[in-house]
Amino acid sequence: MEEKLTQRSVWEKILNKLRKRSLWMLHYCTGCGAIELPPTMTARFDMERFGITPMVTPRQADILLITGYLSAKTLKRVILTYEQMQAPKWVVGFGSCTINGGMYWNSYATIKKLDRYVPVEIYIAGCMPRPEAIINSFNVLIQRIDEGKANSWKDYYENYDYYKKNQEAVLGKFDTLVDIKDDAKKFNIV
Amino acid sequence: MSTILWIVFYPIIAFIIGLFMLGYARKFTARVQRRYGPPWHQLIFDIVKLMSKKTNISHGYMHDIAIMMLLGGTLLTLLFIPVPGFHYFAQYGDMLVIMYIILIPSLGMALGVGETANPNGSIGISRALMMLAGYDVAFALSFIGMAMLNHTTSMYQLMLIQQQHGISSWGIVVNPFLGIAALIALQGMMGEKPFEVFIAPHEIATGPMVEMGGKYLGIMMIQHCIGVFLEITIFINLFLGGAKNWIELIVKLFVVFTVLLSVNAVFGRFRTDDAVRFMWKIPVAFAIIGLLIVIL
Amino acid sequence: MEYKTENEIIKEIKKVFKQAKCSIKKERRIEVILNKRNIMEFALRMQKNWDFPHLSAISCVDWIDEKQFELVYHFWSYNKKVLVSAKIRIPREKEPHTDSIASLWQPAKFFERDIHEMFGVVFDGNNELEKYILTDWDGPPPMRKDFITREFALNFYSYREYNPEWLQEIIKQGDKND
Repeated sequence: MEEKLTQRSVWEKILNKLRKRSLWMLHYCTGCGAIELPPTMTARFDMERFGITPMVTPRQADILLITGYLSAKTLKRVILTYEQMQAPKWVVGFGSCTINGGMYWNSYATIKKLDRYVPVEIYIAGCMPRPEAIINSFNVLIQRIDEGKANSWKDYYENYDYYKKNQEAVLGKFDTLVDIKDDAKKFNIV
Repeated sequence: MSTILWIVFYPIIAFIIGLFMLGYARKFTARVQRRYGPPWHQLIFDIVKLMSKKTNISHGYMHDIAIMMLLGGTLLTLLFIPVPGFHYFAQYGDMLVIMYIILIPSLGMALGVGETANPNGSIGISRALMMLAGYDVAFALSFIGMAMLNHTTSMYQLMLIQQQHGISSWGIVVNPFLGIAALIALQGMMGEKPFEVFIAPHEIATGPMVEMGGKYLGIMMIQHCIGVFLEITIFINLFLGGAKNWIELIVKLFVVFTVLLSVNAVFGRFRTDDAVRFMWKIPVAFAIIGLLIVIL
Repeated sequence: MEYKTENEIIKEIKKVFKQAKCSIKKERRIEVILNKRNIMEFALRMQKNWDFPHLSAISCVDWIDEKQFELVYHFWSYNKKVLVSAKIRIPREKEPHTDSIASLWQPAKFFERDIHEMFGVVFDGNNELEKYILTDWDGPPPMRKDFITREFALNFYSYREYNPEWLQEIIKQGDKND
């Protein structure tokens, strides 16, 4: 996805500088990479000094961490969770399974490229990435928000047909009870 | 004229003090757990981030109104508490009025959470209201003891009586049993561990706050900041002699808050029925001993 | 070796089922090969008469060359401490039918649900044959040996383009293990 650099007003610049210091991640551990999250949160590699704390419901969270492989069953739940979060929101793909299949590249039930189903902001390489790598990637995310480049969440509202087609190719027809196009018009995102 | 200025700026001052107190709380908890914590002004970033979310999910008219009731009830209670320099409304409303209207925020939240129809929220709010029945008994008994001792129910008069003779006339020194009962009840009122069961993040997905996101959660955090200031100031005015100027008030706030936080940082959580049973045994026992000392 | 208890059990089985082929695999392991008509009676006698109250598992093997599925029922006895594995063969069709032993052991419904999801075998008498692992995924039963997972995955999902030089050199040399 190309970088979208939009002209920002002064108010947006101030808000971005304040927003980047308080990112709340959703404590939803989808795959085996979630084992690296407790060390990142506790005393040795403290994550809270950047303002990032774990939250338990999607309504309160900004970052959705996809930590590892996604089978078709989990993908449906991840899409339901992603659509319940409030914009602006960022998806971070952990590990090689989200990049190109990883260890399960020839499995019949896991998806290979996360980009086709939800818009992804940052990928972290590794199987599993260590806490230092996770904190490094959060710093990169904070920097991108500061510069105004972190706009992948808008892509979901603009190209919803593309994502919906890919989702239904794997999962069949399903309804998420969230009207994306209506929301895009109501909140002036498109 | 100065009254109107006070009415406008008093909530803002209370909000700013509460904000730094909550930032201090996170820093203190982090240091107890042997790590660095977020900076002191972390809550500014949190509240700005929450209020500037671009999409909004509303569950209906009642959901929106209830959040207003939450913040409005807290602001109303705030105006009745005397602080150094402002006691206009405190002359007209005494402690009984305060104990009555301090329940409005909880009821407002209950209405709003009921509208969202999420079972986690309903469980959380029913636990919160049950805890309220627990700590209110101890708090009311200790307040009644102080009122009987000094023959007045007005908080402003109690504050003035305690400021007459220095430390030896503070409520907690004159009758320590009532003071300790009120301190334990204060821990329950503020929702600190071990009485944090109505939030319970990993068990019921933060209870009442499960469907609140964006602006709703921002307003709840503002209410939390003002609520922290309010509840500890009630305790200071009744038992620690009030404050003659703002510096003394801020110092006393932070000292009492540190005592509460030190218990919060190392404890787990009681279950609801265990917490209510504890509240009805130990603080009530202390308060009854204090009452007997007053009567006899 | 002596195998006293195992030989006694085999004698009892052979009294009723004369065509069954019994053998002792090793200490405490007996294998019984039955005809598929006899499995319900065998299971009933195992539970009531011969003191084998515990059904450990039901598993399925796909013999693709002989065009048969093989169902294996494992029974365990607490007193004798012996495991008896009863094997039956059913023809390998698209949806082979066989009887369910859920009337004797209630938890057997779960094993049969698993075998139905992975191999496609239908158990008559079991009304709980829904998928529970591969919900939201429609495809042929994946544990059959004619389902090639690599081909299916390469066709069904889309991958990322990744063709660096070092990988192209390895492909040119050819993979020695293929």
